[in-house]
Amino acid sequence: MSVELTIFAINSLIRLGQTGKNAFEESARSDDVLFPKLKQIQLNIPAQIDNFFNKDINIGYVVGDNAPYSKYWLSTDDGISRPKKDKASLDALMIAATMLEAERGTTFMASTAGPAASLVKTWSNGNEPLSAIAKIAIAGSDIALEYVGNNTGIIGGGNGAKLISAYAKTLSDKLPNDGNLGPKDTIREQLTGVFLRAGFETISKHADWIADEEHIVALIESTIAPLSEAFPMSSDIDVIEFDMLQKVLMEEAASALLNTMAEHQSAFLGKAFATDKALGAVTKALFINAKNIGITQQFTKQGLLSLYKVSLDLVAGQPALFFENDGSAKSQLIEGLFTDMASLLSEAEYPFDQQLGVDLAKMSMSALSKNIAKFADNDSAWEQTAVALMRNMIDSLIPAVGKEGALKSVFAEAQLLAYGEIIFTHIGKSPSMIVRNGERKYSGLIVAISHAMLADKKLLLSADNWLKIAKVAAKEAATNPMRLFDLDPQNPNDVLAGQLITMMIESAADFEASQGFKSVLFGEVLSEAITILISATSGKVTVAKQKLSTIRALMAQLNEFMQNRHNEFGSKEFLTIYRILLMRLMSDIDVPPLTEAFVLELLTGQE
Amino acid sequence: MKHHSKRLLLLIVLISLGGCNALKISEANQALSNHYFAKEQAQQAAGSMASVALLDNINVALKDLANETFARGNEEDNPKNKIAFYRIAATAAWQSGLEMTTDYAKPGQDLCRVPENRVGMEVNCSFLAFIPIFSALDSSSEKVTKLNVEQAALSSSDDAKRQDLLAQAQALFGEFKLAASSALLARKDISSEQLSKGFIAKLDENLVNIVCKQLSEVISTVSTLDGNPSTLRSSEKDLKMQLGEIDGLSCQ
Repeated sequence: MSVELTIFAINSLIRLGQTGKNAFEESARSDDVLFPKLKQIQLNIPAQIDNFFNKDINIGYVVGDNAPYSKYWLSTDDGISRPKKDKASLDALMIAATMLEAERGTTFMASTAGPAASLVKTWSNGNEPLSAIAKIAIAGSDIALEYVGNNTGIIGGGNGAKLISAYAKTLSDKLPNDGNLGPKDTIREQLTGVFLRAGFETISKHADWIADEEHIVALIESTIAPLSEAFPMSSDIDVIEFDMLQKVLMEEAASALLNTMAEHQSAFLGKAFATDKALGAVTKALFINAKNIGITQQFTKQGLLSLYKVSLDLVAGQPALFFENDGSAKSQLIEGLFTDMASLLSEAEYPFDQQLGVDLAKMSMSALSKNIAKFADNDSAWEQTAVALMRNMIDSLIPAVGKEGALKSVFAEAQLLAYGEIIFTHIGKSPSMIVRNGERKYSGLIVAISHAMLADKKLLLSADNWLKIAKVAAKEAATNPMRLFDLDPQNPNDVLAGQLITMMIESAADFEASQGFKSVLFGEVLSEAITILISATSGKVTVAKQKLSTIRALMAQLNEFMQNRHNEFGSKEFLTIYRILLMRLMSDIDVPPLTEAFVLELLTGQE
Repeated sequence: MKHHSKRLLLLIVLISLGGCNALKISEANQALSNHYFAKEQAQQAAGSMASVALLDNINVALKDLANETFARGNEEDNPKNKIAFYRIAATAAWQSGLEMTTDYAKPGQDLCRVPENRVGMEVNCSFLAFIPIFSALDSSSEKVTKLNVEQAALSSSDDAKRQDLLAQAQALFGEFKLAASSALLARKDISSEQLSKGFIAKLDENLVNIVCKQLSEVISTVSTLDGNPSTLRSSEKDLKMQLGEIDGLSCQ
């Protein structure tokens, strides 16, 4: 087909406005018509035998002097002609019918099908109302007219003209000249139409977008080709399935693709068509996952599309990650990353089965992609580590903030996101802290804090308190990575920092349980006490391990002391004394029993 | 099997996503095909929970499509567009199991009587004439199948019940005969029109099936309920003769 002619036809139809619309309607009216299958009667066995032997071809076997099966048949002069009702006669006739049909190469009782349904042409041969080129032009102009309105200038040059040209090129080059479109041609036609519509939408959103016709063609091609490969269209159900998936996903996907192109224009400059291929691979991964995982839950559709947008941004924002040295796209990497993350999120429990899961996934991919060399090891690449750490994050948090978790009402989505940012920023800066156990990977920081969260059954700490603890812990972990947050791969829940924080929370909870009321040790004061403990023990891990029970006893003692004197001492005094005594313990200096005189000495700086 | 169930579940969700603003002819046509073929697929997997749920869902979607496209037909100004919408509406109503398919087809049939409306819309118009007939035949076929099930479970001593079933079977033959006659007449009406070969072939294939196969199946149902089928067979013979008058169609 002639590309120029197609473009000319589309532009003409757009300029003609209403005439273009009329042409589109005429084209739609000439679409194939569904001719459904009529329902067939299901006979019972005696009726089937009756029907079989009453046929002209078979009646001679049951009626007449030489009929071999006449003794099983009832035939009267007034027109009755049917099998006898006894079981022996019915069995004999059924066997006879089966044998007769077998001799004819057919099967008895197989004739219940009836004519199949089909799509029939609305026009007779030689009377076809529209050529294939006209149909393409009409479909294209119909889409364009939705956006052009009365402003036909939009197609006079610039982005609109490039879009139309790309649309015409993509279709004219590939569709058969005779206009007899197969399932794959129809998909091509539909997808290209979706891109044209998405293109006009992108123009309206990004006035600064300078569309490159060649890139748009390449992008459409690199989207359609892998999809054609992934969906063989070899049966009706294949066609229906893909058609429906593309209806549900493709409009948003195409829009996201072109928006990504508009937002990352520099990534597409020059002739880097591999970028288009990489984006095509992301689209293929979207569809394959939609097919395999299903889109039966609202999250799954929105989640997949969100993950798709995240992946597009990653490819366009850091294209170098996704290409080989020869410039070809690392399609397997892209598909693998998308598939593994989609699989993880589709199986994740609340609240990670929501948009939150996708946002955290974006953080993990982004954090690790900035330092890929350090996150890749001999057995797994950086993207696998990103997925593994995301799994570690979700699995660790679910017991605390999931549906059954004590802290589920403490953490809002925004705070979990803030928490994720602290964690993944830290991970991005401290790759050496990742520990591997089989397929699993762990971060000491994730394990320590989420483990400690489980201890806070009485909700002594707010989400903001936890965020403060996480920040301090992340800072200490980055400064002294192999100390408080050191992980044993064989026992990944046993992190010293986690034990220390847990001990502080349990100590406060124990006091409340024994006294029936809260001490000063909750909320801001408790989080401050925990951060003091983390800072104090960070450089002295061996001592901290030895003195865990001593620190706990000190906490109990101090709590009781302060509570008995709550009119004289408050939280400020508590923290001051606590800090001093903790330093003494860490420096192996004895802590005498707490007396009022001793505490006053500490507060006045005499001790 | 697991994969198949997943596909069915997928279709359940997708089917329920139907419906959009200002439905166009092409979209309505596509939706009709999608719903229809999804229904066929679900029927093939009949028996599973997923397929039962899916069939319910698809039938609801088809009813919605019938009503939506019928409303669009009413709103349209262009009579040819109206005809296209009414044809889609009537087909969707038929396939959804709605009783009064005629209500959906009638406005389109009326428009098709105006010669200029018919130009370029011959298949749509022809099909509009057949849809209520086919819908009625489907309904009768379903009843005959039900009768066969009831007859298979009938006790030989229950003569009253047998007589009741026989009366129903004979009445159903009357319905079939009437529908088959109407279909043959409608087919003769369009003999001179320039219709696509595909449409005519499919139509004739169905007419042959109705006259040569389904009628005899109803007669066998009557016969095995101890009815005398001789008058029914002469009616069948008449219809076969009428069939033979159309472009050489026959039961051979």
